[in-house]
Order: sequence, then structure tokens, then C-alpha cells
Amino acid sequence: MNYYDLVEDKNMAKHASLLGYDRIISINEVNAIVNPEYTEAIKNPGSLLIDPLNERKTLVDPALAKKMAEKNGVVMISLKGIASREGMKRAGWIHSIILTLRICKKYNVEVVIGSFASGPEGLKTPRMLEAVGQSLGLTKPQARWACTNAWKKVFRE
Amino acid sequence: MKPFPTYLKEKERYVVFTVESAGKPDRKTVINSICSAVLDYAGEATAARAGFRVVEYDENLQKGILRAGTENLEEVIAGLAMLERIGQEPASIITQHVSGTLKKARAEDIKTLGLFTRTND
Repeated sequence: MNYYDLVEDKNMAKHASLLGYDRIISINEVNAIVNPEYTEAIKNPGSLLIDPLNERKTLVDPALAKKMAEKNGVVMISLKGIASREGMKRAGWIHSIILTLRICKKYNVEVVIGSFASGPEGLKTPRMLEAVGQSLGLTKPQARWACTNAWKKVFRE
Repeated sequence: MKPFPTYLKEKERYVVFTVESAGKPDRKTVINSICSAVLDYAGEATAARAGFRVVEYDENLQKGILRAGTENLEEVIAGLAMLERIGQEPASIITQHVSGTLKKARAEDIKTLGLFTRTND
């Protein structure tokens, strides 16, 4: 089973391989990052929405989720987004993510979990990313899928 | 006194972790940071339910073992993932192994990392 992660800077590839990742993906390798322009996500096939609640504080609504499922869009939950917030802001953020994950599960939108790290301190082991997924409401197989095979939709070969 | 019935006890897991930091933070700072990170993310009730505590930590090797119940283990590990700094310096916690007994956790630590020595409280 291959583990993947998305980072801001690809210089951390060696460090990531020590942690157990098979491939580290930088932003340049992704098909299309659309954030937070929702309308673009509907137009572009195979687009990746990173923390889709960013700045808008609204969820991926059912209409968008349906369109994303048709266009093979992927929603990414970043660890950085959660860790950078504190207190009630983090609680509100996590609540929104939990609701987003529920909608994504209902409409079969692919979800990936990544660290989106900008430095080596931000990189975590795949086991930790799976644990974050499970604590947000995914089952164990779903969390594992979000860290492994779901990423194959995201990057260019 | 009668012993506590075993069927009422929750199964525990021991997590071997490493601290990655530019500096060398002392034991107390590390343990406080870990505890506050887990409490911030999982909350006091979950930490209590999990029976979460740092069992041992070696300051020189920057490795340690913590304990949590099986039902709330994921919340505890997710809490560790949220830790961004220890003291004033950026740092992270890396979980290396999850084991069912403390003995095996120590053995795994010796096998994979070597030279882990127990620190007495």
C-alpha cells in the first residue's frame, strides 16, 4: 500500500520517505488546484479543493458536491489548516470539516487527507494522518483510502 | 481489598513517539506540551476516558512512550499531530509504533531505534 502526501515545498521528499511515504506531491504536480473558487471546481475535471471552507466559512453544499462527483473532483482536508487554529476557532473549523466529510460521503466525492506542510515540522507519519481522519468521522478503511489510493486521482503520472 | 474486575478495564495501547525539534527541550516542557496538545484537541473528557498519560520520556534520546485506551486512541494520536511547537521552538511529534504492552513497546523501541533507557519518575 502506497502512502502519499501533498506539501508546499518538495525539498522535504527525503524526510518524508523516512516517515513512510512512498511519494510526496508538490503543488506543481497536481492537475488543478481550485481554492476557493467553487465555480472553477465545477468546470474543471479532476480538480482539487484544498480546505474548501477556507475564507468563506460555508460548506461544500450538495449542489457543488454533486457536480464535483461528476467531474471527479477531490476535496482535500489539510492538517495545517486545523493545527494553525486554536481554541474556539479550531472547534468551529473542525465542525465544518466534519459536516463537509458527511456531504462528501453522501455524494461519493473523493476525500484526501494531507499535511500540506511548508516545513519538515509539519510532516507527520501516515498513521497520524489516518488518526486525524478517523477523529473527524471517517471509518478506518475510509481514512486509509484517503491517505493512499484516493491520491491517485490528484497527481499527474 | 478486592482487585478491580478485569472485564471493566479498558484495553490500553502504548505509543512510542519521537520529538523532532531544533533544540533539546527538557522533559517537563515536552510532557506539558504533549498534554496540552491532546487536551486542546480531544478535550478533558476524552483524555480522561482514554486514561491518557505519558509513561516515560528520555530527554537525551528525545523519545518516549505514552498510554491511551483503545477506544480513544485515534483522538490522542490526532492531538499529537496538532502539536506545532514545544516551548518557543517549532517541533513535531512522530509516532513510531503502537503496542499492546509496555514491554513490547520498549522492545520495539530498542529494536528500531536502539539504546532506549528508562527514566524513573
